[in-house]
Amino acid sequence: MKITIDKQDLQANIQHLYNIVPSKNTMPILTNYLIRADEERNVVTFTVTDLEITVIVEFPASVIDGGTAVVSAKNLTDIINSLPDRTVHFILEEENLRIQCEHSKFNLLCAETSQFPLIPQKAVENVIELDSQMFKKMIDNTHFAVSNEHNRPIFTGIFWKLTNDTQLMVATDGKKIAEFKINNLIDIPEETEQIIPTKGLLFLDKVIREDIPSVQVHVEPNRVMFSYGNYTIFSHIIEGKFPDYTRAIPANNTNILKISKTLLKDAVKRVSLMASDETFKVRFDINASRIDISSANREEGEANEVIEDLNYIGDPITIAFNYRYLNAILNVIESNEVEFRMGKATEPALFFNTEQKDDYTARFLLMPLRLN
Amino acid sequence: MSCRKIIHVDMDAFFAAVEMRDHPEYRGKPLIVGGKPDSRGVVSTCNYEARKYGIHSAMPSSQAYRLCPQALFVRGNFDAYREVSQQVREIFYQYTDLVEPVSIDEAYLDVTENIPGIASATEIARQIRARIREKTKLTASAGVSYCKFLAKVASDFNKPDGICVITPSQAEDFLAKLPVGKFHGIGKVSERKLRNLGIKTGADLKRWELKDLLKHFGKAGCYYYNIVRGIDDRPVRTSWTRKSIGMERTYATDVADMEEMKQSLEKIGKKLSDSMAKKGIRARTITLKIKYDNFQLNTRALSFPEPTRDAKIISHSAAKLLEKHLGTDRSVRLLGISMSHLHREEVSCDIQMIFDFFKKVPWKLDEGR
Repeated sequence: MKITIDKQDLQANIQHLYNIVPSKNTMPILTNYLIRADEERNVVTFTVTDLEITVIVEFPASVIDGGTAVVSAKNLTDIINSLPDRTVHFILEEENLRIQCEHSKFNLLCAETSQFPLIPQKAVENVIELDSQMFKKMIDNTHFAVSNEHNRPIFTGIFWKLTNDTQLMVATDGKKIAEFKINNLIDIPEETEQIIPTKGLLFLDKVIREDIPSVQVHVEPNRVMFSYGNYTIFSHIIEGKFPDYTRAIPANNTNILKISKTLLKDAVKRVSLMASDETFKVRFDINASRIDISSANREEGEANEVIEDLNYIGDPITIAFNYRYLNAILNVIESNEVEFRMGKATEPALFFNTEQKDDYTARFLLMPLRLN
Repeated sequence: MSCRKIIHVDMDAFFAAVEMRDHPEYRGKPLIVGGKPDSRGVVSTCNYEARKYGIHSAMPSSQAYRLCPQALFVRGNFDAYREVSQQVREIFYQYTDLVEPVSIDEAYLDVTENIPGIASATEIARQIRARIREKTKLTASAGVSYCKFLAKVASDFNKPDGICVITPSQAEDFLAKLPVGKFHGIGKVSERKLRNLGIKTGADLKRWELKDLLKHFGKAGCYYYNIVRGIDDRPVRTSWTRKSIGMERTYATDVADMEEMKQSLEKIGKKLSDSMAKKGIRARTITLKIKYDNFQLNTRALSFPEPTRDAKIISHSAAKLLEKHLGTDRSVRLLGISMSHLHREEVSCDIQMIFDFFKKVPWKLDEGR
C-alpha cells in the first residue's frame, strides 16, 4: 500500500470516526481503523466498528499501490492532527505503516488484518431516499430524550417509523418524551418501525451538511444502513416493541402559557443555581399576570425571579420541573416563543414551538416533580 | 460564626476500653477487638498497650498477631458499645441540643448557647468528661475551640484522657507547629504528597498560595488552605443523613468460583433489601465492590431507572456487574454491595414522576454487555 493525500482532506474525512471506537475495550482489534486503498479507483476507505455500529468512509486519494492495513485509531488520529497542512504519504512495509509528512516520519505497527471484523456489504437496491436536512432535524429534536438506562434497552434508542406519508422519531426516558413528525410523501416499499441506537444516528447527525441533500436508507431485519455522501453507516437495531407512548399525551391541557424562550431560559438558568442537586427542582407559580420562578436548597440558599411579560390563559398553577430536562426541551424549541400546555401540577406538560410549520411538527412532554 | 464554642468529644480506645471495664482480666495486657488472628478480619480497636507494638485500627488481625503474638483478641460486644454510646449522648444532651454524632464514639457539640448557661466551653468539657467517667467508668478526650476542625485536632492532642483548648489567638501558633499528618482530613497519601513538596508542618503549608495548592491537590487544596488558617465554617449538624447503605462479605479463603460468589451476592442482596425496608429507603445506584486476593480493590456501579430495594434486582445487578468486570482467573477475597442515591419514603415531596407506559416495560437485568 502506498498512498499520497492532502492532510486537510484526510483530516476532514476521518475526523468523526474516532467517536465510534468503543470506549470500554472488549476486543482490542476494535481500537483500530481498517484502511483499504484501491489503486484502480484511486480511493481509500477507513472503517471503524464497535460491532454494533460500523462506519465506512471512502474518499479519493492518489493510490500508487493498493493494499490493506489495520492500525491504532488513537495513534493515527493523534498523528494526523499534529501534522502540518501538507501532503501525507502512507507506505505499508511488512508490518509497519509508515506515515511521512514534510520532515516527520512515523512508523505504526499494524494489527493482523484478518482479525478485523467482517464488514457488511453496502446495499444498493431497495434504498429509501430521505431529505438529509430534515433527517438531521429529526435527530436533533429527539436524541436528547433518550434513556441511558440499560435495564430497559428499548428506550436507549430512537423509535423511528416510516409510512407513506409520515416519518416519525420519538425518544423517551420515562420523564420526558420528544416527538418529531414529518408530513410528506415518500416512496417506500413497506411501512417500517425500528428502534435505532443513538450512536450511529449521532454520527450521521455530525456529518450531514447542506450540500448533500439526501440520505439513503436500507432496512434489513436486524440492521439498518445509512448512506450519506462518502459515508456508509451500519447500525444494529434494538429488539423489542416500543410501547404506545401516545397514551401519555394529554388531550385537554387547558392551562396555556406563551412566553419568550430566551427570557425563560435565562431566568431558569439563574434560579437553577440554587436548586437541589438531587432533584434539580425549579418551581413555577404561574397566573395571568406573572410567573414566580424559584428554587431552594436547604443547605445552601434560595433563588427567585419574576417574569411579568407573558401570555397565560388558565387557572393559577404551581408546578415544578427538573430544570435540566426543561432546559433540554427549551434548547430544541425553534420559535422565539415557547408554548406550555399544562393540566394539573401532577400531569405531564406539553411544549410546542409557537410558529407551526406545515411540513413538520415537534412536541415535547415533560413529567413534573411531585410537590409536597 | 467567629465566636462559636465547639467541643469535640472522643472516647479513648472505645471498644477496647469497654472490654477492659467489663473484663478485669484483660486489663494491663495488649487487647485487640476485631477479627481473630487466624481469620482475615481486621483490628477494629486496640488498647494503648497494644498500640505500643505498632498495632492500629484497620490493620489486618494477622499482621497484628505477628507484631504481638501475646495480645488478646476478642470479637467485641456491640450491644454493650451501643449502650455506652447512648449513655454518653444523653450526657451531651444535658448541655446542648446541637450534637452531631460522628460515629459511635465521637461527637461534635456546639455549646455557644447551652442549657445550663455556662459561659466557659472549657468548663462544659470538663464537666462532660467527669460525668462520662462517673456514669460509664470510661475516659474520653475533649477538644475545645471555635470550629469543628480545631476542636477535633485538639481532642486528638492530649489523648488519652485529656483535654485541650485552642483559643482563636492560639490557633495560628498551634497549627503552625502541627505536623501535617496530624491535620484531620489529611490522610497518609496526601501527607506523603505534601512531604514530597517539602510541606511538613502547618507553618510550611501556610506559606503556599491557594492557587498552587489547588494545582497540586484540586478541591482538597482549598480545604488545606482554609484549615491551616483556622477557617472552618462547617456548622454542627444535628440531623445526619445516610448517604449509602452497604454490606460485604470477606471469605475465609479466596474464592474463584463464580457460582459461589453469586450465592454470596444473593445473600447480601437479601440482607440489604431487608435492612432498607426496615429503614424505609430505596436506592437508585448499586455499587459492587471486589477485593482481589492481592488486595487490589475495584468498584463498579450502575443506576436503576427508579429507586428500588428489591432483593432480586439487587442481587442480579450485582451478579451482572461481577460477570462483566471480574478479571479472568482472579480470586476474590471480599465482595460487597453498596446502595446509594437513596430515596426516603417519608419524604414524599420532590419526586420526579414517570410515565406509566414506561414503568410497565419490565427491566431487563440480563442485559449485560
